[in-house]
Amino acid sequence: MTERTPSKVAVPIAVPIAVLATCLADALRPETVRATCTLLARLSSKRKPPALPKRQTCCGQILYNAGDRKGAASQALRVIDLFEPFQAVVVPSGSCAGMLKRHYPQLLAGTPHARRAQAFARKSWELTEFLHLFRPRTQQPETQHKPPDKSLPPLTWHDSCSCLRECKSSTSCARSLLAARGVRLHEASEREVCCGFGGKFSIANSAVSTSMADDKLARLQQSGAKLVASADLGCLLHLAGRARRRALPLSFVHIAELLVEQKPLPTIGA
Amino acid sequence: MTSVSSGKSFHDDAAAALQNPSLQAALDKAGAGFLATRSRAFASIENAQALCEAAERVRTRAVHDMADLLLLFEQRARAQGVSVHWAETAEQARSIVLALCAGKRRIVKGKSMASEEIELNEALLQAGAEVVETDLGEYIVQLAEEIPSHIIAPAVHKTRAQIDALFRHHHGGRKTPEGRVRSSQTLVEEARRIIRKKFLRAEVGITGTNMLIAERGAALLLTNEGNGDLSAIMAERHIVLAGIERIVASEKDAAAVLRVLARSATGQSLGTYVSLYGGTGRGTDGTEKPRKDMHVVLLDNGRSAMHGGPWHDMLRCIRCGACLNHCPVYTSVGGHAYGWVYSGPMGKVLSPLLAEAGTDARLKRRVAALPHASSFCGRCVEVCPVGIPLTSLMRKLRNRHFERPQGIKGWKTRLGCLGVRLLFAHPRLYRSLLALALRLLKLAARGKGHVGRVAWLPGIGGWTKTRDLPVNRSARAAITLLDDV
Repeated sequence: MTERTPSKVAVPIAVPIAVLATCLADALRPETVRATCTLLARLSSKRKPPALPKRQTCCGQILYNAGDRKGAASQALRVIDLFEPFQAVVVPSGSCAGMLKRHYPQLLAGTPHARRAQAFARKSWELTEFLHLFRPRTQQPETQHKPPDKSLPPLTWHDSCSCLRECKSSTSCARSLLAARGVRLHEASEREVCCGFGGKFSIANSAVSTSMADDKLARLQQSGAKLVASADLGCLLHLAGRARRRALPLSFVHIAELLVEQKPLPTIGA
Repeated sequence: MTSVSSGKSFHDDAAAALQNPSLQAALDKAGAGFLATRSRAFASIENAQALCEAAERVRTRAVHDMADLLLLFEQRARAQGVSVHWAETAEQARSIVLALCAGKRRIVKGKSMASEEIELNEALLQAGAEVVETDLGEYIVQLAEEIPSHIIAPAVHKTRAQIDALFRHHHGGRKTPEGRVRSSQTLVEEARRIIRKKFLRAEVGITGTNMLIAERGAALLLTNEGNGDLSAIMAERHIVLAGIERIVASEKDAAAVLRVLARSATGQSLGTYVSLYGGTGRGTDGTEKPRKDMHVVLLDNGRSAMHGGPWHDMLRCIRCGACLNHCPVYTSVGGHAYGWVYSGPMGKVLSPLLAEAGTDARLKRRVAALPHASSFCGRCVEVCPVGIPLTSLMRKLRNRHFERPQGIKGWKTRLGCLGVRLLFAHPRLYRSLLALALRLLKLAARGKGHVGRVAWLPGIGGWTKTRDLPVNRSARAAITLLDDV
């Protein structure tokens, strides 16, 4: 991903894009999906919003991680069928994007759909990767840094494990988008350590998952930040839910909602 | 057996471990040290990536050619007068060692995970022998009647105060004044004095091995305390216990593994002592002389069944422990929660597979669920020096559970997945049920002083027990909501 330089990118873009909302955002945080669509519309030449196919449900990761490989493979195929007509599929989650990019090709390897899965993986994007690559010329590196946005509380960034390890460019893309938005990050320590969400893990191994959340929350607080942004709603719901239960002075926001620059800033569970 | 797992499941033992203050103190202290030394060790060399790739290639080839290399090892070792014994099961390995120790009473042992795996100590004790672990960590867990909680740092779960108390209890001597704990150096010296005497009187020395070198017919031992070498040379008889996958082709190959082993494990460029044990040694006059009585016990215990199958990659493991040290689950709960001698990410894969080869039904049930206790963060895969895809292997084990469900949990997962499949196949049904669920969720989040969040919800009690669930205030799914605009 990193080898594609911005100069080769046609801006603004005119390709038909679709958004895979992700089941979590669809059900629990429609604001994230709306912000994702707004951001993508801003990139298009005619401010055309991206498609949001109505028949979408979930990327199938819930089945894949529960061990239901067959179920996950048929869901992968269903997602590919639905989104294949579009030239790009943008996902506001590193975890679900990782599923499309890394795991679909493995799930469908050795089936008649193997090549389709590989082609589909190539046009699937984690949101911040896409926004960074196709950002308007006014935000090219030389003009990138806006004066600091003083309306924001001190902010830190949470790298999800899937952004770090499956969509490897996301972690730098997100930081550069935030810089362009006028955000100065208060970086936390041990950013490469998992927050303990892990889907079903957070429910089935509640005690360990919660202890990992507490460790993460302590490091996020030590950074001096009051607001935590991330590209993954799973981590955010888990951390926000735990912080809220412990009445910690931390708020949480998905990067899409932060980049839309709407005021007041909507935070999760507020 | 000396198992320490008190609860029935990883889940129970992990929850208990989190509430154990001295364990948490010990884990906190050890954890950061391991990570810092390892990252320094790799940062200080230019070609870290290349070294890991070379070690991976060596291990891949060795595991691929395992059968031929083992036969070559046997031939070369026998030619030097070393006896080679094949043990298909833990039971067989125990009887071989027991037979070799018949009539001998005093046994010293170097660190060997294979011996922990086959519960050798109990077998020897039952046969009336005195067995003393000579690795300091192993010695501590032996005194405490526990099993190791880490494959390279067996007593990492113990605080200095606990070790002091343990030594007092077993070694006698004056009481430490209240609230004071003896220094590490004092404790180490005390253990050394006692263990030295055991070396001098030992009739049999049992050690593990880091690698069996086929072309040389020799066993390689990498240690820091020197106890492995004393175990190997002080007694008349030396028994090496080795998992069959410890094989490598040549000294050159062994060197490639050594370059990453200690760096990954303890952050050293090499361990303090690297020794090769074969049938001959060089005398003081420089000539080759036969060493005394040496035996190598080759342990299968489920390993050959992994060869060529879905779990083949796991055989590459060099037992460095990097995946344990970098695992947020392991560093939160320690090794004992895993219920057996192998813990952390490698244990989550290895324990269920090895337990299947054994006869202990309770152990099999206990470790079968381990592959589910992962958030799939993937850090273990990132740090593994020989590129074992640990998370993929755990996922494959989950696949197998799904295909062959066991117990109520297994069936619940299976039925849950079948339900989810049905919903995914019928998006309109999915939409209607989701709409209903969101309305109910909004109702649940109303009142009780917690607007906008749910503090308790049936079915996801594991979540709501410790966390609120931030709810969707519009009570409408994004797809429906945005479609209307």
